[in-house]
Amino acid sequence: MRRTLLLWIAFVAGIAYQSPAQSFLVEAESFDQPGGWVVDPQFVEQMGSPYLMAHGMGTPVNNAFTQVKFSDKGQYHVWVRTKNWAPGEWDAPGQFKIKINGRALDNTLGLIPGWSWEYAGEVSITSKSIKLELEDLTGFNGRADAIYFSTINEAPPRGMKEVAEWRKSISNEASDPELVEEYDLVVVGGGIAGCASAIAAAEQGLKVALIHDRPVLGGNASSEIRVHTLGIYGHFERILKMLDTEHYPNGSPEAYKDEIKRHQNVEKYKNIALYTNWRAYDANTEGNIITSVDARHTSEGKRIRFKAPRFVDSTGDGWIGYWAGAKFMYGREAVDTYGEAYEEWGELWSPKEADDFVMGSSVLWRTYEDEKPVDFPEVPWSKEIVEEHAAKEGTWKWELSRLDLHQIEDAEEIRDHMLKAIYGSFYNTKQKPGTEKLRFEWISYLVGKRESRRLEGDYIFTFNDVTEQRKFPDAVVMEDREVDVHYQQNLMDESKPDFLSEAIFYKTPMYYIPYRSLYSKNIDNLFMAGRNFSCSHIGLGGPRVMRTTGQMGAAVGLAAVICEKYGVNPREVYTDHLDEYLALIERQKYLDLMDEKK
Amino acid sequence: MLGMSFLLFEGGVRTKPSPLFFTMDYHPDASYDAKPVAEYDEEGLMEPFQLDLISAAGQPLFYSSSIRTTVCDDEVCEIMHVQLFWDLTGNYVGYDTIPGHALTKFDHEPFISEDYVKLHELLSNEGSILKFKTKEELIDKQKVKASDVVDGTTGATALEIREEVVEGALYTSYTIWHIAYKGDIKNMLTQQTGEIYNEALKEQFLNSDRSAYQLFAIERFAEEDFMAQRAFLLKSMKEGIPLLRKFILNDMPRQLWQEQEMQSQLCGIFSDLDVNSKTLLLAKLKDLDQIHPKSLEVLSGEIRKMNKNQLISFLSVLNRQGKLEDTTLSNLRAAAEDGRFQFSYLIEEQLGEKLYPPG
Repeated sequence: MRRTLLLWIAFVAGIAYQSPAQSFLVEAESFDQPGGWVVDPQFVEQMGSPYLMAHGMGTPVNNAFTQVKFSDKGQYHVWVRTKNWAPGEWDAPGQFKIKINGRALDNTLGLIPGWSWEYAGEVSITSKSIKLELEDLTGFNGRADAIYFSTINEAPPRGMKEVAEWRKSISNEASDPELVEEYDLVVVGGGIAGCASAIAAAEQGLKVALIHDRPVLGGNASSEIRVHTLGIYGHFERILKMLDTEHYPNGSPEAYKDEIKRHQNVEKYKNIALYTNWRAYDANTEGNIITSVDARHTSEGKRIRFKAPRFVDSTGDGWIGYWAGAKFMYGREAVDTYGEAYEEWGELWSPKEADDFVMGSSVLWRTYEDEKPVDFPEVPWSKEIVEEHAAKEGTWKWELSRLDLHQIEDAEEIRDHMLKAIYGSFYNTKQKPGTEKLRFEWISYLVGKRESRRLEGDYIFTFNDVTEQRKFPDAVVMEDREVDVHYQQNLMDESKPDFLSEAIFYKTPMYYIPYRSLYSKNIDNLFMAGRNFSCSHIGLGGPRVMRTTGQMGAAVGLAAVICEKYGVNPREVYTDHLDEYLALIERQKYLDLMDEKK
Repeated sequence: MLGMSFLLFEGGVRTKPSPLFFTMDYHPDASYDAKPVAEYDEEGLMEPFQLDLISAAGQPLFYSSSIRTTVCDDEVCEIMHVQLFWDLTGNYVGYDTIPGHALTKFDHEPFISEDYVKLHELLSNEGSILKFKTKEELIDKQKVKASDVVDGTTGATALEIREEVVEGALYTSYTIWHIAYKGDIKNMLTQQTGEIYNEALKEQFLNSDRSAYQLFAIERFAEEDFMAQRAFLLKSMKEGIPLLRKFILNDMPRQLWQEQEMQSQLCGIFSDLDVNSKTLLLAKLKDLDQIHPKSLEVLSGEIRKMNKNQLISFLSVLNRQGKLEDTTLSNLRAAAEDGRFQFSYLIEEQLGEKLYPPG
């Protein structure tokens, strides 16, 4: 413990690792002052690390800077791991430079397609400590993962695997986190489902860790993504009212107000240990049991191993289950797999043959009228996607799903495609008369996902459970929202931009979701709540909205209480303790009243 | 013509030259016949809707229904008359008024010309905002003005809805749109067409420029239809909507996929395809036992039109082949060495020695 601390004190001015060849790696996300750059940890599993991004909506952002200490003076070569995110026959959109002690290095960066080490230049280091800066030149999402200084003129490797191994070797990182924390329940993912789960369990006395990779709670409902919550409260009105949002238009800054409410409510529980800005990166197992989850701070790099008897996967993408080897599903099932036809919509609803045309991801955005005219630069790199499309704001219809894009593996490309769509559509609007004062108010840089991995439970919730309004003995979630499944507009009309979707509604009376679809079929101590619960693609169409996923969260939080009481696994709550579990769900409705009586 | 409404079909006989709005071909001089084929009913309707099949010279053309129904808000109901038209696959194609029953709006004011046009615009919009709204959600309750007529909620409609509906005729717009797009009616009509579907109708559908007709036909293709309709398949791949292409790529029998001519011609239109059809075409090739050198040559010439994952998919197809033909190799090398091609690095990375065989 003491040794770890000393290491961190030594490198308090940024995560800088020294290798024998007098080389340093500085992780960009650990800069002392990110300036106008934002930390983006969304794509760690695909490209290897959180990174800094100059999300300036067309206006260069303020410099990010940090102090870096050198043990040896000398002549250093400098590389930056970065990418040209919109390569083509035009100037790269996300250009930036490296400055050392106020002097820019020779080469402009952000020019090469794909993540690679771009050479920034050579610098003579004459003092033990230098000021390292990132200078954004464009305001269009330049990105820097890490900066490498070396006395030897040899770039680090490019391939994903190679760079991961190289990183480990240069940082001398132990394979396991040295800091270990123990809880009764570890909830990963601080969206509405994860928060509800943490609250429900904590109210019954469990010691809960809530791990979330963003600074703010709420996931798709947060001020960072700004989707309003839909659905009903079911049995959990009291809990969900602490977390949900008003029905403001998607993208509205009113999301901040509800976010403050959400934080106040979660933080008032003394037995919820809130780990914001921590991203889980592995689940350790013994047989079919998860023993711990490892997480890393998104900017400081430090790590913690979280041990618990049970875990909740509310990551949305089902990462905990995936790492633990849980069975999972991805894509659209063939219509006959579960018999999910909606006759008049045919293939658009459910395909004859299974495919990967899942519901897509959205990136919301807004504009406003400024007092003075404001220019917006040309964005030639968006032209082939946007063509003549013009818009002033994004709605839920701004959604991307494509057969060649995986919603998890290709999420960065999806986000970047949406950024091109937004910048280009806004540019086209700005060419019209009367738009001189129009400017961006906000563009999310986080991908708002609808659908990704779904972990398989003892029960797979499908469309039939809706159409037949099946009453389950273990129904713990209920919903009367329509089943709402999307398809891309350009499937029916090729002239439409590829980033717009359309919805199909199946209106329905109340339907129910059984508890058995909220724990893993093959990982014995894993719950899931949120869009990664056990359902078919069409089954997800209704309950994917956030009050409903919040119900799932609260339901598993309470199931964890029963598990803890009897020392059993989630399945046994259904097989052996169902009545007590349902009674607990009923009883928690009146917790406030009981508090008052006390 | 507006305001001079007429009943197009009465007692199975055409009575007037042409409907108010109709997006299919219509020949005023042709002899049209109407035949009742189905009846749609649901709880709450004042009477069932009779659905007629309209034909000319024995050729089925479209469906029609003269509708009398109630338009209600929370308190008041009025009777509305309208005639709706659907194509043979149940898609809205037009509407008309019924003589003596002009459509009305706020305070019983009759529709003016612009209102009729606006209604047709609304009805032509399958993705209308009305799809997502229940009747209760149509108006902002706090702003409702007292009125004794159904559509008297002008000024109270949420802005997004107001932009789409006929001004002052919110509930009329809502009611007609939801009839025009009623899934059960679409299913009844499609089923009816399925029952009369024969060689002549198939021919008509294959030669039609209506995507829905082509889809209907392709969905009913037997293996021999695919084998007999090569020209239609290629033309549709080139000009059809992406969904039609998807059906063709997914359903084409293996035998046809393996034919050198067909396979290389399909590969030859790669650059004309939308992004998803490109992906699907490459995925289908991955599944085939035999890919003809000509197909590979053609595709290798289109490599710059592939996105990253498509290129990876194509390179994996190439990796499964034996020795590659010279033209294919030279296309691949040119792309691998093209500094302006953003994925050039992938080619050598994935193909290795295959790209530059030793010796």
